[in-house]
Amino acid sequence: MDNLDKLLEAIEHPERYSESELRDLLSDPETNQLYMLMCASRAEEFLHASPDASEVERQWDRFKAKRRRKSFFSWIYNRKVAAVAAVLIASCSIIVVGVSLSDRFLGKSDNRETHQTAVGTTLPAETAMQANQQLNDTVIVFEDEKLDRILAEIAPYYNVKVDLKYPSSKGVRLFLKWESTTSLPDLIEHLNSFDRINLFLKDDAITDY
Amino acid sequence: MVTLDDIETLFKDNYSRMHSLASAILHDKEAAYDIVHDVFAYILDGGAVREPDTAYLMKSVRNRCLNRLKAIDIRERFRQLYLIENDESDDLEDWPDEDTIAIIEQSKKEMPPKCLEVFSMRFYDGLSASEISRILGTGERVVYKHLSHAMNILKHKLNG
Repeated sequence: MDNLDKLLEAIEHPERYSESELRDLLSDPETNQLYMLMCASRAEEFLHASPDASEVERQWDRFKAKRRRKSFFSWIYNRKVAAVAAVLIASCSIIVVGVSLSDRFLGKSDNRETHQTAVGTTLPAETAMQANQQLNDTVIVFEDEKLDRILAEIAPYYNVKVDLKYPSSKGVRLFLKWESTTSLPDLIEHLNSFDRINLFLKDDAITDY
Repeated sequence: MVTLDDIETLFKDNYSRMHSLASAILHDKEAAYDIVHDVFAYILDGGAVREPDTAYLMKSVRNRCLNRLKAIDIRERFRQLYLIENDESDDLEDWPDEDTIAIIEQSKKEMPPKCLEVFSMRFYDGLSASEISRILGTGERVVYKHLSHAMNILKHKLNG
């Protein structure tokens, strides 16, 4: 059975193959080319059905409506959270002052500030909620830094390893402002928007392809 | 901070292309709407470090679609003819490129009628070989033969 026949059988009955067998099949350049042609053929139907101008307008109105709903609920949520945070801070303030005074009396240092390390600037606190959050948020600004160094620095925050295989991605230099509140999927997606960077998460390691 | 007014022109100028690409990768027009909306939502939430242009938008769509596909078992991806990333993935940068689409169209003109019919049923209608054989009242082996012939025409056209 030649590779084309194997490929035709694999797309009809993939359950007969293991994951590694299917990947091995595609590791042959000619077979991979055939598979890509099949995918392009399958995809062609969808390429011809682009939304027309009226559909684009409809989607824009739909998008705007979603954003305005999101902004409204976010405003309501933030007011509630700010109110709760203000009450908590007020009621905890006496305890915090008490602990701080006793720490100083016993010679301990306040190491909360070490959570904020930055190559650039620390964000100023404008509200009680932001001041409270700032104790736990980290912002790092990387200027013209290589991707492998960037990932080495921020991967520990996500408890993942870094395993970059391709020199073309390791050496990409970026300007990046990273906040520890960014989720790992969002970070990977954002980095993938840059040319020559193609990252994904595999077995608790950030790797590339 | 980017506002809705700022991105309105960007949205309307690029929406069709972005939606077509997402549909082509995911084979799903409804899912494509969500992907495109997510890209613009990300920009509005301050996610884009640089000024978003068409290239940025298209790459964002492609990456979001590919990330979604990665969550699908490879066997199912084979069955649905979804893209599968491997060492050849640099080719995905412009996929599906206009040259490949043109080659497919030219190849279809060279396929004998029955071969073209089977090819269309398999790749445009997404029918399996067994479904095609049942509809056409022919054996599966014959269906495979037509598909093999169609792919050889395509390969020959692609490689000159």
